[in-house]
Amino acid sequence: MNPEMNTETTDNETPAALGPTPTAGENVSAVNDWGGHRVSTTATSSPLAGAGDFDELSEVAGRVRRAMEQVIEGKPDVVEVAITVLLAEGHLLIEDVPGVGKTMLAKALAKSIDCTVRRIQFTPDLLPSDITGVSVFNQEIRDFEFKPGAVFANIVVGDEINRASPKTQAALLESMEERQVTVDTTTYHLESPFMVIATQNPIEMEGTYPLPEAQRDRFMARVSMGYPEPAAELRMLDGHAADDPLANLQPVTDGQQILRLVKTVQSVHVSESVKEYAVALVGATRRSQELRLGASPRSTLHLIRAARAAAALDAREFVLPDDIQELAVPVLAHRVLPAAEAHLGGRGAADIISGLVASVPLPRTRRD
Amino acid sequence: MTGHARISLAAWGATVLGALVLTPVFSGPFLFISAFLCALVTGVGVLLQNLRTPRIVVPIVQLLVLIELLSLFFLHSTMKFGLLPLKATALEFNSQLVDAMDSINRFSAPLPQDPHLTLFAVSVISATGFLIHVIAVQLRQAAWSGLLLLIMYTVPAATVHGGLPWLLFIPPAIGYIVLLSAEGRSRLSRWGRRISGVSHLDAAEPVEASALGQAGRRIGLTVVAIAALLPALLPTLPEGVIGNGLAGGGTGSGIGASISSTDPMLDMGKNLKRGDNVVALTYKGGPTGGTYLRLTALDLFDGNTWRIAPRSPGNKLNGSDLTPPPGYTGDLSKVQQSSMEIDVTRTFRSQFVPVPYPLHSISLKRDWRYDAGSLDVVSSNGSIVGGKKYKLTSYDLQPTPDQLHDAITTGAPDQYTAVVPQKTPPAIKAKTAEITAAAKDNKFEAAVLIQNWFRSGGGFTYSTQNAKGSGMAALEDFLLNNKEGYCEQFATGMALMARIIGIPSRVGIGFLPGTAGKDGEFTVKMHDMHAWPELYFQGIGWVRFEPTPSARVAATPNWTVASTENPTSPTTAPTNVPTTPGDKETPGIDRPRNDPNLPNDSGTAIVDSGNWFTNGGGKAIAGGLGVLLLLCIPWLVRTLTRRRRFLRPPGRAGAEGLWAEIRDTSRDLGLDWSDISTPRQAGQWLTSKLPEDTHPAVRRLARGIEALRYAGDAGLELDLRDDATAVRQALWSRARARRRWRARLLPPSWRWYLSRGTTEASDLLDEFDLLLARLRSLILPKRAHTS
Repeated sequence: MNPEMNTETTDNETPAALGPTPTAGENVSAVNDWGGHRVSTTATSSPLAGAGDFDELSEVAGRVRRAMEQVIEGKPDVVEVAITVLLAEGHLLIEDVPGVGKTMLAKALAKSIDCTVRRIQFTPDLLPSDITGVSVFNQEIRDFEFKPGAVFANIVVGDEINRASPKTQAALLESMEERQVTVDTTTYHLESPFMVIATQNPIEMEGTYPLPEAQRDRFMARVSMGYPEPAAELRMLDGHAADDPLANLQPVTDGQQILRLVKTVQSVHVSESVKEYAVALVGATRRSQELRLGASPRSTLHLIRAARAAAALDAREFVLPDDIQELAVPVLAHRVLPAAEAHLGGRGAADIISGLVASVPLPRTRRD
Repeated sequence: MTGHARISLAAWGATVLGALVLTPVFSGPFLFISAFLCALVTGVGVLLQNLRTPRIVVPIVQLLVLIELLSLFFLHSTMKFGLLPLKATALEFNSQLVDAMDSINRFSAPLPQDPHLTLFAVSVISATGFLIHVIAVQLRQAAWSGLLLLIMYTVPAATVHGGLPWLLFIPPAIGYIVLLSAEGRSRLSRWGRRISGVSHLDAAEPVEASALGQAGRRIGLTVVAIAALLPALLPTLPEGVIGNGLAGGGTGSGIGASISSTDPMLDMGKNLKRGDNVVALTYKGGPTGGTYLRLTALDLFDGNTWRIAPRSPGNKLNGSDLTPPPGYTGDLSKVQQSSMEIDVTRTFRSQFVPVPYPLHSISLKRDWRYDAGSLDVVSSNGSIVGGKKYKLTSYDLQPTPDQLHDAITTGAPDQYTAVVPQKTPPAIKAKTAEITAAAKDNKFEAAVLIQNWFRSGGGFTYSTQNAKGSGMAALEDFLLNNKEGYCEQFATGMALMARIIGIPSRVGIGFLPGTAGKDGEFTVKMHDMHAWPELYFQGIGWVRFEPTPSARVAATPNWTVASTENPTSPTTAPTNVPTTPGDKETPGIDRPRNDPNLPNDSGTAIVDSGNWFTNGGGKAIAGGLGVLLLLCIPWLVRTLTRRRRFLRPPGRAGAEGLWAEIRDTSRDLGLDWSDISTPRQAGQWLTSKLPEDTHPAVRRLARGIEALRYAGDAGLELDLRDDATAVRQALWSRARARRRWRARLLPPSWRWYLSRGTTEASDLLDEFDLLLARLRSLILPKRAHTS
């Protein structure tokens, strides 16, 4: 992840960024200020989204980010991806060893938005009807009545998703893709925004049902928490010792606002050459000798959607190849299968994807 | 396909491709027959290998199969029961081979399509193919089979007159590379599958061909291409810079003509027949009517070639007089001397200096030496005489026929010039005796009779078409049957006959006197090259004779005429001094490429000869200017590109041009602009390289490019020229002076474009590779079933 992406430049960025840069007179750290890109908004008028939408988006995203970072110390990139997935209407898979704060991240994101949140602890005996809901015979009205399951919420936190039986997993994953639940021939639409944050533990595989490739493909991005920095871990000790930071977390936005922001994100322009680049990158995963399975066309779609959100978070109304590059690993790595040779060579999927990013050239511009 | 079969196939291909070089030597269907035989032998080998026959048995069976096949094809009638090649077959085979060797000695390439020659060629090729198979497949030492291919290549290269066409080098080289790569492939495959975990870069490469083999083929084909093209593109190097080529002397096909020290006779023939008739030298002074200029004398005849005998290092020239001419016993101080000034043009590449015989003194010094026996002057450090101008004096020896008539010729001046090779056919000896019968044992009379026989009585025709050289077989053919030839055959023929009757002789190589100009200056051209016999008479020394007919040389030396009363001799009166062939030439005479414009050419050459500018200085200046212009091309193109880019109106194309300009500028200045970086990354990279005050400009530029490329706003107009100029200047001022000059004169961005070109070329190569691989996989399954 590029640290420049995350500098909090959106607040002080003036619309006239093309003129003499205001940062020039400031300290040295301002020199690397590449964030924020409002060139075109001043030069032309955008038909889809006004500058106000982007301001609102930046501001809300900043609030959510700050709120989450109260709980998740020293993981700005993970937080950023989580917010990006939220705004891109995708689902997030958090995969890491126990105790690094997977559930904490999911909960933090859920709690900073004022909307319905459900948490499902996946266990082997969990049934599909627990997820989707079940029709119960109501004695009073003498008819079947639908009791909505856990999936009927804006944000669903699925903890240790690989502990449930495949049947149960499938129930959740179906509703993720289709955003609707069908029980007894009746179809119930899920309310927007709808986001599933699932956590998975890759180490303790005893008695688990790893997600099949087809179902992993439905998650827009996968992030690993990774161990915290020593300093962050120290701060965590202090903070958590006093009280639960999660309890203190107050919602900073609501579902309606998120919906508006999603609309803004959808207005972000993706130029032809960026699309070509995404296709080339995904195509390279299919041709790579180090990968047994390349990324699906759906992943190209997800990549572009996530890149849109990243661009909007950067207060830019068009996608850059840089957005694609930064999101390539979180969006693509969990969908591909490294070949046996790569395993032997000690190269994981993320390494291979980074290698591809470093080797696939940008589509050539027509004239230079 | 197993490794064995692959290598076997490659070995077969290498043999057939290598045999292609024999096509200029042999004619007929020998190539197809040998390819077929080799294929059968290879097939037997593969089959036996697949049947897990003991290793030692396979080549034996193959050899038997080869012998059986050869006998069946060529010697069917001698076989027992029509199937078994026994003693009769072996004898017949041997006699056919002997015949073939004889033909090869007698005829020059291309050889006629005789059955015994075809048998010879097929045997040689299939034996080579069999050996290559054994070496590459059985012994697994494919690299060594290159030696066999090389032998196959050098044989025609050394024997074909004038060398092989250079393109013929390519097929054997390709065959060899394929063989090597096939062997390397099966060698690698023994280590198991390749693990590609090391590099992510080959991820984008096609799956088919293995990367290693691909790299090998790339290198191999590139090397072959360079090896084949480079000599064709380079100008001929002067003699002695890199030694003599395989076929004796440089290519000789260009303007320059060369005379090497290894085989001057061969080079003379080449210059006469193929070289351009350019001016070789001009001279002033000397005897009236011009003089023969000699380069060297060939005194050793071993039955195959006339060569220069091994010599002592020779005497250094230091401006003083040379040693007296060998064999002359008279008073040299009374002999008239004539002085000359010779100006040799640059096109004449020879280490031998053209001088008249006998030379008295010469103005060349230091690096030039002379031989006391032959009185020829040669460079001692490999430099050439072309472009030199020197003065000399020579004795004007005019022996009278009476003197010669009385001279005794018992002793020999050295150990070489009296030797008659052992293999001299008796027919030649008999012929010589027959011609010289009238001389009544007087050696000089006999020599004159021989000369006259060549010039008029023997029925000889002058023709440069005879390309058989001057070996014993060629001479026999020339003297007794064919009677067609040029000065090479005439001179060597007479020299041989002279030796037979006991006169020591050698063959002088040099120039005819040339054409006289208006002011007494003589012009000698390349086609004036000539060879003549020199006979030794005690008391007088070496005396020149002229057996070449009047079609080529009008007059004989006057001392050879007076005492003979041969009525058929068409030679002129004794007073007639040697004149140039051009003067008295009759139309329709077979003289090599006589250009009708020749007198005009020589006229201008004479007028210009003293002018430094036209003599090469002008060309040198023009060449220098041309090179300078050539060197300026990158700079010019680069500057024009920059101007065009900066002149474009603001807009998408204009901004892209400016961006490309920044990219090229940083590449010119030696910075490593990544090809896959996005504008943002490139901008960040630039800010890391440039001083802080330019950062805003860099950022504006990078963001402008981003906006133009990706914002999808067609109407967006940004004028980034000022920023581009600022960034360009910053980059420029940051570089060191040396870098800047390099960027100006030889912009490395060019190199990058070039490397993109080579990338595309190697991509093409890979495409070809892939095509071959597909072809292979298309064909091979069928093969696998049949075997």
